[in-house]
Amino acid sequence: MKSMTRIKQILIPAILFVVAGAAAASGFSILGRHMRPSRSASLGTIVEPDVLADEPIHPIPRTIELDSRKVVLGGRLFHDSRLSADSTVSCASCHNLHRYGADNVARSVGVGGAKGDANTPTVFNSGLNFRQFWDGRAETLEDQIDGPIRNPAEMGSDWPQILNKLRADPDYTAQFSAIYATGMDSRTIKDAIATFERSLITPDCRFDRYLRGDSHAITAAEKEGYRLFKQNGCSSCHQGVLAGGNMFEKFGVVADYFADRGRIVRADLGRFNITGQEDDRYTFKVPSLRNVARTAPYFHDGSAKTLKEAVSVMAKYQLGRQLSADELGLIVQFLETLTGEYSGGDR
Amino acid sequence: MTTTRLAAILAAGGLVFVGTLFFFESQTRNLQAHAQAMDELRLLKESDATVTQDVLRVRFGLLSSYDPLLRELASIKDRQHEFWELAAAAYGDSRETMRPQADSVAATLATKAQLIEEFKSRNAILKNSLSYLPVAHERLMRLTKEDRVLAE
Repeated sequence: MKSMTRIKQILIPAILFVVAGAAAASGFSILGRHMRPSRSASLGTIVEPDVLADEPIHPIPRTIELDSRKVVLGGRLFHDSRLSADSTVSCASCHNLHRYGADNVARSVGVGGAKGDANTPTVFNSGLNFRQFWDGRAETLEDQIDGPIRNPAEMGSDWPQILNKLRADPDYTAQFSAIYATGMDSRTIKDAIATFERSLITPDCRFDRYLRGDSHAITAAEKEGYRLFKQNGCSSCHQGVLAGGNMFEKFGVVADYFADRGRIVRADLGRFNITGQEDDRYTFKVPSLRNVARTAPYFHDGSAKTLKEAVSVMAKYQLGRQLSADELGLIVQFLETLTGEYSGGDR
Repeated sequence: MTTTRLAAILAAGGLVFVGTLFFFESQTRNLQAHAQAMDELRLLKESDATVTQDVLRVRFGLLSSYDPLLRELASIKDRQHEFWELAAAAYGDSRETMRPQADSVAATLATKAQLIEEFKSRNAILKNSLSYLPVAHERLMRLTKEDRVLAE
């Protein structure tokens, strides 16, 4: 009887002690949740505190944090023509990094000499676009990659074919295994290429330096061009970090561009091809004006050969205005200040 | 005898400790995931409210670009996804009972995003017209003046 009492005397405090200990040990993680950082605090702030924040255009961030190993691997894949059916076309064939991420032709040439449906948009700063493609059918760069890979007029390939070719390369398999737990598959290939593409930013153009407070970064004529750009309403669509790339707009708001141009093809229908909604007929993603002076020809059909011509067409069909030669010249001078420098090593 | 008893007590104590630790740990996991899911839901509501505010700020010219609006819309999508993941950890299979509500919220938010896209396009046209109005007025006055001079 005595021994039972003693056992109880030892056992009960011992149980209470271990229960309290276990509860305390687990309890820390409950309290820990209050320390969890708010995700909203980690959202990237594009507008920096030292810029002219009220202006419709904002500077491109000087750096973007990316996994450098993925950037290197993605750059290699971006230039690898084995991604195409006949191993002749790489991403860089149309998105030439020496030509500001485009190819300066109205419609790019794909496998077997086939011509693409629409003008190739620049890959530079494309990670900052709100959607990809002229009709915005891809929400992310990763989703976008499937488009050219499968398009018979571009790379005309598919993932099993690509994986067969790339898995035969031991360098690739080693590189993928070092970065991704799952090794090489279509998802990791797309992730690496998209990461590389996100690295293709062109910060610190003269206009960005002006926005950051260097009032001498652009000339008086360029400032006047910028004033006209805003005054005529161009900045209603061409705003934000990319001076565009963040909304859709109909091509031909005040006049019928397609009736005047003639010979309407499927690619001219724009977003209508995706949504099937009548309001989206002839609607496209507003393109970015970053490096626009280096990425002729212009529009989804590559019909405008010069920047002056493109501005003139925009004024007529989007704004219902006829700009004088002086006004056109000044706006073009301003647009030239949006040419930045790509500092990546893969040019 | 005392040694045997002591060993038995220690073994029993050890078992109780391990059992209790497992019990609290499993409870904590659920509680923690539940709390995180609730956090995510709160942040989702916050982002949704910010989007509504941003639309109004754009409408009244207090926001000079659509970028902040787009960032918030993107964050809403992230939060929906995050909430659904955390709900799996917190509620296991019973998460499925929430699916109709989650789908309904997702559909409403998608409609809202679609309407915002339409608003952006129409607002851009309104803004460029408004910005051109003073210029058009000035040009009209100049032409009228020139006509008057010519007539005289």
